[in-house]
Amino acid sequence: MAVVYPSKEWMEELYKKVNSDEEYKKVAANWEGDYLCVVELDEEALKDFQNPKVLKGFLEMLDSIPKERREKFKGTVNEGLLVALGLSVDTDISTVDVDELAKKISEMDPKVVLEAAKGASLNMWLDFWHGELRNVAVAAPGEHEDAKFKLIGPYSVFKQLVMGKADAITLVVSGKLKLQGDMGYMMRNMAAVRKFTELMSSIPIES
Amino acid sequence: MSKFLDLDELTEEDKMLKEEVHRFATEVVRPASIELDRMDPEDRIKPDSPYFKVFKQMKKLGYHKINLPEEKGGLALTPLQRYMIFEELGWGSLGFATAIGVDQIPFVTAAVFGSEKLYEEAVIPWIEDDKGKYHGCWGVTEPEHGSDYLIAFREEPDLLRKFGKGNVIIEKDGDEWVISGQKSAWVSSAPVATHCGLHAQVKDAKFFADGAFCLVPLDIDGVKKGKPVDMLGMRDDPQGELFFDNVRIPDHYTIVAPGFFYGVFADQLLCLTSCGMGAFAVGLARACFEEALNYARQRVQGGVPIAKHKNIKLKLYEMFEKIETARYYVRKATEYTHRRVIELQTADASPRHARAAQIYAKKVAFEVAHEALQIFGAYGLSKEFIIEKLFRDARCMLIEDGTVEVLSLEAADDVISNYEKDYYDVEHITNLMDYFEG
Repeated sequence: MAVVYPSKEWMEELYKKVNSDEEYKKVAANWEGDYLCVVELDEEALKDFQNPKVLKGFLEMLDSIPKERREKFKGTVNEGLLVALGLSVDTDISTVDVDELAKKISEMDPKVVLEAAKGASLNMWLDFWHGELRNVAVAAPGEHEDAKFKLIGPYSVFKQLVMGKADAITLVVSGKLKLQGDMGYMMRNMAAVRKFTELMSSIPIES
Repeated sequence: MSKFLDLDELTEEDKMLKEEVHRFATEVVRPASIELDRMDPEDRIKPDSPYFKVFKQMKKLGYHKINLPEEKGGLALTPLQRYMIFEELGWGSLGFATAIGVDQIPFVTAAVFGSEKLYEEAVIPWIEDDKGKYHGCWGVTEPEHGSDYLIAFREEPDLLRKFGKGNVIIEKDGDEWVISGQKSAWVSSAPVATHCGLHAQVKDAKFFADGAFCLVPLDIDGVKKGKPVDMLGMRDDPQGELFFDNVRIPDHYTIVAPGFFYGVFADQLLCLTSCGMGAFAVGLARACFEEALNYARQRVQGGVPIAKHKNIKLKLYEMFEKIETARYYVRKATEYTHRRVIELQTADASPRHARAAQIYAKKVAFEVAHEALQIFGAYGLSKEFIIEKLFRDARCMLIEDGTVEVLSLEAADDVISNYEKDYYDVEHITNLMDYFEG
C-alpha cells in the first residue's frame, strides 16, 4: 500500500520492511549504530506542504514527539518554521485544520518562509542493531546529535532517495547529501547500507 | 594459433565468447593496429583512419558496455567473461584495448555514481551508440603531476604539500562548475574523444588530493585539444593534451563531489582500471609468447628448429610460466574487484590486490616481450615481424596508467598498513582529511 512521505505511516512501513527482510538481517548482522537524518526545509517541501495529505503527514510526525520533548523546539530555527506557518510549539497539532493551512501555505511567498525558517529541519532518528531496526522516530532539536552517523540534506534530495529516484551512495558521492560519522565503519558495512536504502526506496509513495 | 588450455572451467558460452572476440582481434583489430602503428600521428585521427572503423565495430559488438551493471544497461557478463574480452583485445592490440577501456570510464562511472538526469542525458546515448559517435577518455595525468596523482591519498602529508597545486582547477559557481587548466599529452584517446572523465583539483584546496570527478563533453566552449603525440609504442591509440579555459558544466555533470568519497572513488576506480590493465598486459604477453613460439618452431639454426635449442626451450617455458601465473592472478583479482565495484556496488575492492594484478601483469608483459624479441634475433628488430611493435607496446605499459614504480609504492602502503585486514580500510583517506581539514 502506498503511503505519504513524510508521515508516521511511512516510518511504520519502513520499520516493518526492514525488520521482515531476511537478507537485511544477514548483511547487517554485525551492524551497530544509529543514524540521525536531518531533512532540511526547502522550496520543494513548501510546495509539497500545499498538498493537505503531505502536510498532514508532516504535522503528524511532529505530533509524535511528546509535549515535554517538544519544548526543545523553543528558541530554535524549527520554532521559526512553526511560527512562519502560523503555528507554535504549544499548538495542539491534532486540532489544526490541515486543508486551510495547506491553502495558506500556497499563498505564502516561499522565499519569505525559508528566510524566516532558515536552517529548519525535520530530524529522524533510526536505530539499527545487529540486523534489526530497533527504533525509528522523529527527533526534537538537539536530540541524538551523538548518533554514529548523521545524514544531512535538503528535503528534495531525501525525497529522491525515498522515492527510489536516486540511491544513497550516489547522493552522498555527488555531495547532495552530507554524511558525517565513522567512515571506516561505513565502508566496512556497505552491503548493509545498500540493502537498507534499497528497502527504504521500495516503499511505494503516494503522490 | 591462440588456442590454449584454460585452467578455468569455461562454459560453452564462455568458450563461444572467447572465440568470437579472438576472431575479431585477429581479423580486424590486429591488422588495423599494424596499419595505425606505421601512420603519422595526425593521419591516425583523420576521419578515414582505420582507428574509427575498428572503434565503430567494437561499439557495434557492444564491448563498451561490458563493465556496466546489468540494471544500468550492461550485458550481464561474468567477471571472467569481461576479463576474457579484455585479454583477447589486448592480444590483438594494446591501443584498441586501451581505447575501449578508457571509453568506458566517464560513462560507467556516471551510470554507477551519477544522477538519473546525467544517465539519461549522457549515458543512454553512449550505451545505444553502435556507430562510434561517442568516445570517452580519462583525464588524470597533468604536466606537473603524472603518476603522482595515483599516490596522493597515500602520501605523507608533508610530502603531499610539495605536490603543489593541481594543473586543472574546478570551482562551483551557482548551479555550474567552472574548469580551467591542462591535462598532459598522455591522455589516451583524448584527440579522438567526445567526453572526458576528468579529475580536477578544487580551487583553493588545502591539499592536492582534494578534488572532484566530472563528465566533460569535449565539444563545449573553452575545451581545446592538443595535437596527437608521436609515441614509441601504443601508437594505435592516439594520445594528446586537453585544455580547459573557463569551461562550464552543469552541477549534475560533477559525478563525485569533493570530500571523503572522492578519495574512495579514486581508489576504487583505480582498482577497476588495474584489473583491465592486467588483462590487457596478459593479452599482450600472450601475443608475444605465441609469436616467439611459432617462430622458434619454424626457424632452423644448426640443422634443427631453434625450439629444440636448450636456451630457447628454457626461455619459452619461463615465458609460459609467467603468463599463466599472471592470467589466473589477474582473473582472481578481477572477480573480487568486479563483484564489489560492479555487482554489489559496495566500493570496497582491495587496492593492494588490484594493483598487484596490474603491476605483475605489466612486468610479465615486458619481460615476455623482451625474451620473445631475443628469440627472433635480428629479425625481431625489423618491422617485418610484429614482435617489434609488441615489444614497443610492452615497454609503454610500464608507464601507461601509472608507472609500475608509483603503483608499487602505493600498493606497498596498503600492504604495510592493512595486510591483516579482510576488509577495505579507508584510514589513509580519513587521516589525510583530518590532517588538512581538522
